[in-house]
Order: sequence, then structure tokens, then C-alpha cells
Amino acid sequence: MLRAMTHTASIAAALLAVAATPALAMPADLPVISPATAPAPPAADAPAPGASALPHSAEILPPDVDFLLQIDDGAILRKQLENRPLTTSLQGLLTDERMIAAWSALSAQMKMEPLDLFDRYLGSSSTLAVRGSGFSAQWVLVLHIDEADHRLLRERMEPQVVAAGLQKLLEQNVVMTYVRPRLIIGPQEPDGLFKDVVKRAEGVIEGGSLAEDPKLRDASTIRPGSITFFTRHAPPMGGWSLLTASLTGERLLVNHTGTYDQAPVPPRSRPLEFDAGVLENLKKCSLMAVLEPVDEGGGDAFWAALLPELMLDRDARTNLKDRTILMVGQEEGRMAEKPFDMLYPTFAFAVEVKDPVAAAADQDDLVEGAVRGANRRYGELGRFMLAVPDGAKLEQSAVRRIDLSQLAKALVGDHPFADTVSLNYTVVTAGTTSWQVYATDADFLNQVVDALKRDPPAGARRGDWASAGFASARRLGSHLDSWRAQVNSFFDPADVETVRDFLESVCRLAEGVDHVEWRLDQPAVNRLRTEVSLELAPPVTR
Amino acid sequence: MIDRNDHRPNSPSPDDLDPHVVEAMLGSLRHPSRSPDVTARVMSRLGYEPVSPRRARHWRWMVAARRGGFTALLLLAVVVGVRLHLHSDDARRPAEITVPDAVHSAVQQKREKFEGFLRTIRTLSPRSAPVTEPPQPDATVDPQAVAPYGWV
Repeated sequence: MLRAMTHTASIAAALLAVAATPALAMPADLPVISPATAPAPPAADAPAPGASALPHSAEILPPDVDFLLQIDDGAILRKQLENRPLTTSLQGLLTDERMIAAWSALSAQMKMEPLDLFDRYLGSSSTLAVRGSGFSAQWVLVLHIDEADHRLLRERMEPQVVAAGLQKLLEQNVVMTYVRPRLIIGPQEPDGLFKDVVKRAEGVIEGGSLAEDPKLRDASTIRPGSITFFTRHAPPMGGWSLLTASLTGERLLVNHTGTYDQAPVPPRSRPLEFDAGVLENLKKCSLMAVLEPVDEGGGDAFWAALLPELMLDRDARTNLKDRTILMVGQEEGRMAEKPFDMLYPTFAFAVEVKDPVAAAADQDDLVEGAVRGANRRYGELGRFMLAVPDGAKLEQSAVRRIDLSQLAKALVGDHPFADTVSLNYTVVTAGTTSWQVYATDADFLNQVVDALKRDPPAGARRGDWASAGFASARRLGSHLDSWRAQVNSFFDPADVETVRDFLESVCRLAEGVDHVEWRLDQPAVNRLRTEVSLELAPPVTR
Repeated sequence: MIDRNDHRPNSPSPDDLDPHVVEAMLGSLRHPSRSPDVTARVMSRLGYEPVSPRRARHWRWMVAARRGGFTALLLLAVVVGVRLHLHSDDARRPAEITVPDAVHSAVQQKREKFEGFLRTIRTLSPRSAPVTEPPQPDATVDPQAVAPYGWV
């Protein structure tokens, strides 16, 4: 019984969290980059003709609503998400005893089981809208219910009539009115939003509706879902986001579109179409990988400020091709030279180049310059002195290696993990393209090189993307979980508890998802479109 | 006025009255006899006695006070009754935790926790390597000396 209550009380909150997750999406029939796991029908990323992701409740909401969450087919979703680890994780993260007690009391008054109450009143279509923020926030809840259910509600809750058509649920401190087929619920002292929505539902339109907002025309470019979430963002980011989510089999597909005053990601240096098939081969060796167009500027501003020697010269920039890949791997600390009980992260970075011979020489020059620069600028401060490599003495195909343990110790302290850090780099040619590859671990470099050498799976999808990537959520969860015992070694005692809590929350969330894939479009500097696919962990049978 | 249709057998008509009797009645009306005023006695027997204006005021005040007290008592009884009712199990009142309040507080609490995480993570810095203590100046050395030297 308690479990059922917990489950029910948290469903709405869980769905809210799923809907609010910023980086989720991918239409149901869109290939999840991997053609092996998802067949690619034609025009996959285009929504069905006439379909719009704009929530139907927008028709009765005023145009200045700041937050909207609409869940259609809630009862079906609840059953689909039942017993899934993700649901359990979200329950733990989003609900508390008070919510469970409140829902339980309401169910008792309605003489229903908590789950039945959810299915009956929130199971068709429910919308929560908020206008304003903080203490001045106004809210309204719109539920689609039939007349029989409305009658039952009146019988069981015995609302007090406060005005024509307006009733008060004393026990819940709310007022409600039924405008078939919508039950509109608002705060005890009906605020402006409640009245605005009632007027629109009754057909007394004043001042248009959210559905007519020209800013939301982008809604037609993404696929509708059973969960729709709309929010306006506060400055300095500004603008708004619209997100839809739907559950198809084991996959939660989320589409997002947004327009911002200042986009949360930097604009691309150039529009570029590239294929993301190479990511498929990296899934085995990487926990996570992010594919992006190459930065023609020759380097990130942060790194340029930190170490100007990392900026590429004109010739090296000319030799760059289309793509870069950032990869995260892991190694077993117990297998290290000085064993320690932790999975430790390894990083690799690959840049696609045109001419592999010139790229190898550029790579040697770049690393040599960077090492000299690091020694000169920070060596004394960090008490390290890195060995300067001499690439000219090595064969072009040989893997170069520099010990970075002193640098790592300067950053993270004297932990055995620091002894594992090195810089390994080489150039690899695969088919018609070549990559400059850098990695913090020799084994990881070899695995990445092997993966890059393999041909991408046939039918890999091409697209005009700002970013694409994947994460093996479950493996990432296990990885972070292994850090918890070592937090003391890396962080100050005052922060240890917070870091542990954070890691635990992330691990719990990661347990619910097997695999995540995403891609990000940036049709304009201030516009973003995201498509994410989450492979959910299967339901746990008890 | 005589009802012409009144045919009751014993009802006398004015013509039936004896003129002497009529004359005697009119005479007594013209010269009413002086008799004692018994009104007070009669009224007293009926329970009504004249009182002084002071006493009358006192009694009026007493009546008003009695009525006011009774009204106050009645109101008090109503208030106590309502309060008892509101605190009884049968009373209808907002639940201790309403669903909107519970959702609001949960969202608020989780948001604050998440923001706390972000604040901490943002300000986190890895524990730095232990700093070597800088060499302490030798107390036996005179810093004002042209060349440092120690006492032997």
C-alpha cells in the first residue's frame, strides 16, 4: 500500500523531471545515430504533416504564461513506467513523505486507491500552468475528466458553493469549476490566471492565447509528445524552451526547441554537415563521446588564455578537416602500478585532419610548444617540470608519450591516480580520413585508435549538427559510484558530504537509463534544437 | 342603529322604553354623582403599582442588563460551540498537508538542494598538494649584520 502511494504521488513529479531534463530528445522514428539499433525511415526528423508540438491546453492559456507542463495519457504512461528503475530513482529524488501523505489523504477522502485516483483524474490530460514567479506566482491546474467523474468528485468531496459554478474544496484549500470537459482548479483565493483560464474555457476570450503567440511557431518543427513542457528563461539567457517527450517501447524520445537572448552553447564557427557514424565504433571503449564540428579558430578561448602555445598556426589550421571528438573512458585503479580502489577516468581527443604527414609534424610541434610553455608559465608555481618531447627522433607512426604525473599531482594532490596520467598522442589514418589523437592513458589511446580505424557502420546518418554524442549511462553511474569512497582524497572535508550526495543522486538517476544519445542543431545563433533518445533500463520484476 | 331585520323577540325598541326611566338616565348624565377614585386600588389588586421615576429607571436598567447578559451568554455559547465543532473530528477544515502545499514544498526543497549542489560543485577545487613549509629564519642570525653570521 505504502509503495503504491509512493509510486502514485511521485508519478507527476517524475514526469515533470523527465520533461524538464534539458538534454533529452529524438523523434520516435529518428535513427539514434546507430542504424543497428534504429531503422531510419525517410524524412525521419520531420513531424507528421499538420502535427504540432504545441500543447492543446495553450488554447485556453493566456499568452503570458511562464511555465506549462501538459501530460496526455498519464494513465498509460504510468503503467509503462511502472517498476522501471528510472521511476524508482526519480521517486527518491523528487518526492517526500509529505507528498505521499497528502495524496494518501486525498485518496482516502475520495474513497479510492491512490493509483486509481491518479488514473481517473490525471490519466487523460492534465496541465499545470504558472504565471510569474516567487510569491507572486499564479497557478492553475486543468484536468480533462468526464461528467461522471466530476459528479463523483462532488459527491465524495462535498465542495462548498462560493459563487455560480465556482466551488471550494475545503480540505485542499482550492477552488474549482467545471467547464466540460475541463475541471479547472486554482488557489483558494482565485487569482488572475485562474480567472483568465476559466474565461477562455467558457469561450469569453480576452487578449488571445498562448497558442497564438508567434514566438511559438517553432513548435511545428518538432514532434509532438505525450509530455509537453514549456518554460520561459530568466535573464541573462532569456527566451524560452519547448520540450516534448514520448515513450516508445524501451526508449524515451525527447525533442526540444528553444530561442534565447543568449544561447547556452557558443555559436558554431561555420555551418557544417557531417556524419556521426564514427561514434558507433567508439561505444565499446568509451563511457561517453561528443562529436562536434572542428573549431576553425584553432583553439578554445579558455585554453588560449591558459596556454597560448595551444593555438594552432595558420598552416596547422588549414590542415584541419571537419570533426572533433571528445571521449571519456575508464580504467581500473586496482590494475594500476600503485593500485587504488577506484575506476579512474581517462580522456581522449581526436581532430580530423586532411594530410596525416603534416598533421604528425604539427602534432609534435604543438605538444613540444605546449610543454615548454607549461613548464615556463606554471612549472615553478605547480612544482613540476615536464620532459620536453623530441618527436624528430621518433618514427612518424610511433606513439608519443609524456609523463604528466607531476602536473596531475599539482592539480589533485598526491593520489595514486595522479601517477596514471600521461599524454599519449599519434596520428591515425582510417580509410579516406585521418585523425590526430591525444589521450591521457596509453591503453585508451590504443583502443580509440583501433575504433577510429574501423569503418563506420553503413547507412550512418549525415546531418547539419552543432553536436552529437552518446553516453553509456549505466557504466557512467558505476564509474561515479566508485569515486564515492575516494572523495576524501580529492576534496576538502567541508565539501565531502555534498560531493557524496551529488554523486549518489547522479548514480541513482543513471541506474534508470542504459544508454543516451543526442544531437544538437543550431539553426541560428540564438536558436537550438535538441533530439535525445534514452534507452531505459528494463522494468524490475518482483 | 336598529337592524330592521333583527326579529329577535326580546330586543326592545326605543318606543318600548319608559319615559320616566329615560328622563332619570339623562338626569344622572347631566349631573354625575361624585364617587371616590378607586383606580389605584383596582390596579394595585391587578399587580400594577405606581413607582418613583428613580425606581423605574433602576428597573429599566436591570432589564436591559439582564437582556444584554443573556445575549452575551448566548453568543459565547455559539462561539464555544463553533470552536468545539471546528476542533472536532467531524469538522471540515483544510487538511494538515494539502496536495498543492506538499507539491510546492517538495519542489522548493528539491530545487534548493539542487542549487546547493551546483553552488558547491561550482566552487569546488581539488585538494591541493601539501605545501612545503617555507624555511624559518635562523633566530641566531643578526639580520642587521653586514653579512649574516651566528653566535658560536
